Formats: sequence, structure tokens, C-alpha cells
Amino acid sequence: MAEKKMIIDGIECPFTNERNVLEVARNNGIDIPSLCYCENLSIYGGCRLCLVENERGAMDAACSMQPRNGMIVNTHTKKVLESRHTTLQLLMSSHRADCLTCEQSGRCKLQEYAHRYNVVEPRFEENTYPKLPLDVSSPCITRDPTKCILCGLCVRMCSEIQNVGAIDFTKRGKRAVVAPGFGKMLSETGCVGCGQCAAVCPTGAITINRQIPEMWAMLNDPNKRVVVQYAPSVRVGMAEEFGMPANEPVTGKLVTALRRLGVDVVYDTNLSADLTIMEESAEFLEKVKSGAKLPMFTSCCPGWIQHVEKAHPNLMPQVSTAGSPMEMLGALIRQQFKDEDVYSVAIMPCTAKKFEARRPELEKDGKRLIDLVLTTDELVRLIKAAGIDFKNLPDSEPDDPLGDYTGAGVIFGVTGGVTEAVIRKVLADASPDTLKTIAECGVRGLEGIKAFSVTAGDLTLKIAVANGLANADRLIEKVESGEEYFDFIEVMACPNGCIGGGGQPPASNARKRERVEAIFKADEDCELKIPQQNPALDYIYDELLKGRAHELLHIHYPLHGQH
Amino acid sequence: MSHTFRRKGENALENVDRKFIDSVLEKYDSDKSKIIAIMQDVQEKYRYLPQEALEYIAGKVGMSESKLYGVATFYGNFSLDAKGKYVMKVCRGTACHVRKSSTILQALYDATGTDEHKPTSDDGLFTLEIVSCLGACGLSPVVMVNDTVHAAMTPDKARALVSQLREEA
Repeated sequence: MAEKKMIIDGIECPFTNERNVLEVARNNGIDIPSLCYCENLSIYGGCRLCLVENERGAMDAACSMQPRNGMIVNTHTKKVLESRHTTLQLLMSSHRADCLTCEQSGRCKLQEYAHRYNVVEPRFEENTYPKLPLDVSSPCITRDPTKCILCGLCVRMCSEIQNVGAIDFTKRGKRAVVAPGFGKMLSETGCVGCGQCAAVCPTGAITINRQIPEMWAMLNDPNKRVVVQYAPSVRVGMAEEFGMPANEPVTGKLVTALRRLGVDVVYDTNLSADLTIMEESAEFLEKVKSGAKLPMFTSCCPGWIQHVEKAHPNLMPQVSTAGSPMEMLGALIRQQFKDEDVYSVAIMPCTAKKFEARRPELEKDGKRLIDLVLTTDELVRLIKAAGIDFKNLPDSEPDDPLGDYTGAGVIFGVTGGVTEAVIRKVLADASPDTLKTIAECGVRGLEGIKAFSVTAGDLTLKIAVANGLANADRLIEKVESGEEYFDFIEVMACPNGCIGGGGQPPASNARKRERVEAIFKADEDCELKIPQQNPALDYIYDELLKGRAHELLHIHYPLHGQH
Repeated sequence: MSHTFRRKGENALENVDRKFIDSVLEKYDSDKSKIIAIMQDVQEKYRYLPQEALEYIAGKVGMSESKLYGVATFYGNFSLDAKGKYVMKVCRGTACHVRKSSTILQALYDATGTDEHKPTSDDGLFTLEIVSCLGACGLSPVVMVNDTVHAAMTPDKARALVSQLREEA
């Protein structure tokens, strides 16, 4: 078949299977503004900013227009510009614009478009934004209805990708507001704190709870020993914010930046990711041997844990009790520094970790395992606030004796990574051939649900991997109905896994694919590939944990039931 | 796909009759595309939509609570506030307006102890609603109490109606 082409602004634009004219334009270097469109969500066509004009003078929304061969549209005619201008003025007339102090300032699309399309003065005198209070009930995110422009991206994210539906359009006309039902607070809904709503919110209507001042206070306190761990995905989520390519991990610069900020000790959460695999795979093999109910579900993702507790409480006993890597390193840090005045900070790609760190179960020997969770995005702001030229920093290594890690820990950051690490551990063979076989068994890739089998000795294991909670729910439905059987299921709440976490700087699909490349590059850079090769393990089990491994490295949430 | 957050739906229902709700759900096969009909049946019995009932229904039909709440608050005919035993719809359409329905509305507000911002009386007997037209312009001014139409109202007749209903209650 001949190549399909359409004409946008007089430019010939070839296309294949793009879902709308908006995508065709963007793929051909023409940026049509839009506030309610996201490539991963259904099309809403509500904001009317992406209107384009055809050769007959008719206007329609580019997001809702299917590209046809020979189609002609123009994106900046007089009519289009006027319409855009009015639409922006109308949106601004019901948006509380406190741009200087807004969390989203500099990243707000309404602000960007107002500037780009030269909307220099408000047209409507009285601003009619809804006079409704903030919802600060969630430890992860804050909802500010006064800034909501009703684009519905969060609503679609929460229901289509996460199948949670914590918020929706409620009421109608000028009283319409995106909110939980019955005037509830977010904490009273099925919200798991994944932060994906905040990642798609074009304005400051849903934002991540930032705790940067707490961090500065501790960094400037001479009596506190600030110990920081950073998760696998953090190293692949920052580069683009400093004008560097996203497909290179920046681990060494990250460590240097933390030291320059005044952090006393730096550890890599990869170490405890190795530990998580040791504990989780032992638990899994024990379950297989004892004939316990399978599948066993992974436990590293706090959004997933909350989703099980709220939506599938009956499955909680099948969720591994192995602590998350953050929890485990938190426990090791407390053992390492015993009675010292240590402030334990975790840099995470995740907003739900802020909730996890506060759970009562994450307290051992009367001390919180983690004092503060900062997201990747907050770390970026800290580094910028400190005036550090990140791009030109030299590399450095995390501290001893908890600085070692293997490639198995690194790959936790992407969907399928935990499973791949478990398989590496179970097969216990670090030869390049075996590693290649594992990588090609079906565990890699960004599909929402992956299912495959792995043979280890006389054991054939059926494994599934899901990312996004709606995918997890689909999988659970098949398991509960008996349609499919699995021994082991990995779930990450965020689309694509932690690299696309709610705490990462928001990214397009293309950017996320670059982050995946960077994760596997970081794995390749590791000499050691399988968790049991980690040289720190002996020290950890023999010197630090001294027989308390289960007590300190496992978390029994109430619904896990009696052990 | 089975939905989320079962916590509420599985609880015992305190103020609504679970058997009744179940019978409505059964009538419509717990089909979420029939949610409006389901809510209409529930409202017919309770004269409003009790929150508990909606939370329970959300779990059963596989819709999120927020979505169901969104539907319920979209349509003016659904009410989430408890209504009085007698729902009085005062017509303020054009025909009724020119025949002074405003004085009837005021008489009913005064007689029942309600007002624009507080449509239901403290004794739970009366709820006043303003409607735009009842389609009975020939009988104007009109007040509809539950399913009964009262024609050619005057303030005196309105006050008498309230007293009569109070006695009957």
C-alpha cells in the first residue's frame, strides 16, 4: 500500500496507524496544544485547545479526528488562534492562578500555553474558581480543586489504568468538580497513593506532597547523621531534568550530588533489592515445597500492597512478607548505626513510599526505619536549589560496608525486573548464556501483562508480571475464576514499573523507553549479576542481623494473617 | 472487571433494607448500564438516595463510588438528601408565575418552616421543591404533593393543605 500522507500547515505529513491528527502532527514536528489528551488514556475531547481548521473552514478537535489520506488541516489560522485565545481565557477565568508559589509552576501546561499564545490579560473580571478546601488527607498527594480545569486526565488515569476510580466528575455545570464520591477525602477512598494522577495533571490541581524543608533542616543540623538511600529507578529518572540524555544512568553523579548536599552516608537501595530477592525467593521455594496456596505475589510495591488491602483483602495472605528494598535497607541502617543519631532518608521514584514509610509496621526496636521519603523529583529540586552543576559532576561510589550491589538489584526499577532477579537467583547461574536465556524468556518488555514459564531443575514455574493496577485486576480475575494458573505473580502499580513512578519527573512513553534502556545499561555495567554473589551478604547476615533476619527483613501487615 | 474497595459494600447496612436493594439489583441483573433505573427504584422507595445504598450498589454493579456519585449528582431529579414525607413541587413556570405562584411558594415556606436554603422541615414532614413546569398550565397555579396535583392554588388553600397533611401524617 502506498504511504499515507496528510497536509498539516502546508507540510506533507506521512502517517501510519496514529490514533488521531494530534499524534500525526506531533510526530511530524508540529506541536498542537492540548490539555486533556494523553497518549495512554482514552480520548476525551473536552479542553478544545487542539482545534484545527480544515480547508473548508470547519474546525474540529485534532485529538478526536482520525487521520485520512489527503486530509488538509491548518493549526494556526486566524480562526484557530482566536479560538485558542478565548478557550485559554475561559479556562483562566475559573482557575486560581497563584503561579509564583504554585507547586506546579514551571511545569504547568496552562501557564505554558498562556505564555506561548500570548494571553496577557484576563478577559473575564470575576474569577469563578470553585471555593473548595484542599484535600490533604493523603500522605502522598494533595488535591486542590481551585486549580482544576476539569480536563479529566486524573479521572481516566485512576479508572482506566489503575481501576481504582478514587475520583470522578461530580455535580454539574459550574458546580462540577473532580472529587471522590459523597464528599469523602482521598484517604477514605480506594486511593493507593500511586501519584499517577499528579503525573498527568496539567495544572497544580493534584500535586505530590513535597517535604524538601524537612530535608534541609536535617542537612543543616550538625548533630544529625543523615544517611540516604536511593532506589534503582532514581538513577534513570533525573538526567533529563539536567539536560542530559535519559538513556544513560547517572548513578555516580547522583552519589556525588548527595555528598555535596551534605549527606553523611550514601547507600544504594540496590543492595537491599538483592536482599529482598534472597528473602522472597526463599519464601517462594518454601511455599512451593510446603504446598501453600499459590500464586505468591510480590511485595515491594506499596501501591500494590494498599490495593490488595483495599480491593482484594482475601489475597493478602498470598502476598510475600519480604519487606520492600526500602524497608530492608532502613532496617540495616538502624543496625549499622545502632545508637547514633541517624536520620534515615530514602529517595524513591514513588509517592506511595511516603505512606509505606509511615506505616506502624515499619518500626523496629522502637525506631522508625525510614524518617523521610523524598521523590526523585524532590531530589532534583534540592540539587537545583543547592546550585549544583549536576551535568558536570564527577562520579563517586556509595559508602562501605553497605555499598555493594548486583545487576539483579538494579533491574527492580522496571516491570518484570523483580521476577527476572528471582529467576536469576533460583537458577543460580551467572554464565552469559543463562542470563541471555532468562532475559529472553518473556520477562522483559513493557506490555501490561506478561505470562511465561521457567524451568528450574525438575520444577516448571508459571509466572505472570503485571504493571498498572487495572492489569493486575484483570490477572487476578483470571486466577480467581480458575481460567489461568500461576505460581508467582509480580505486580507494580505504576505503568512500566518504578521508572514510570508517580515520584519521577513526568515523562512521555518515548522517554520511559529510554529510562528502560538506562536500567539495563546499569545492569550491564555491574560485574555481578545474581543476588547471591553480592559480597556484602555475609556481613549483613552474620554481623548485622545476627539471627534476626526474619524479624527485621519481613513485614507482616494485619491482613497477612497469623504467620 | 470486578471493582475495588469492597470495604463499604460488604458492611451491614444500617439504614436501608438490604433485601430491598438486592431485589432491585436482581431485577436489573446488577447491570451497570441500568444504573439509572436502579437508582430510580431506590429513590422511589426512600424518596432520596441514601449514601449507604449507593455504596452498596457500587460494589455490586462494579462501578467506583465516585462514578456512581457523579451520575447521581449529575441529574437534578436524584437527591442525596433525605426528603420529607410530603414532597411539594411548586410550579414556577410562566403560566403559574403570572398567576402569582410566588405568593404560594412563600405561604408554603412559612407554613412548613422551610426556606430556599433549607428545603426540608425539621419535623421531616415536608420538602419544598421548585419546578419549572408541571405541564398543567391550564390548572395554574399548581402544586404537586407526591403524586397528587393540587390546582388553582391560593395562599389560603396552600396553608389549609399543609394543616390537612399535618393531621393526616
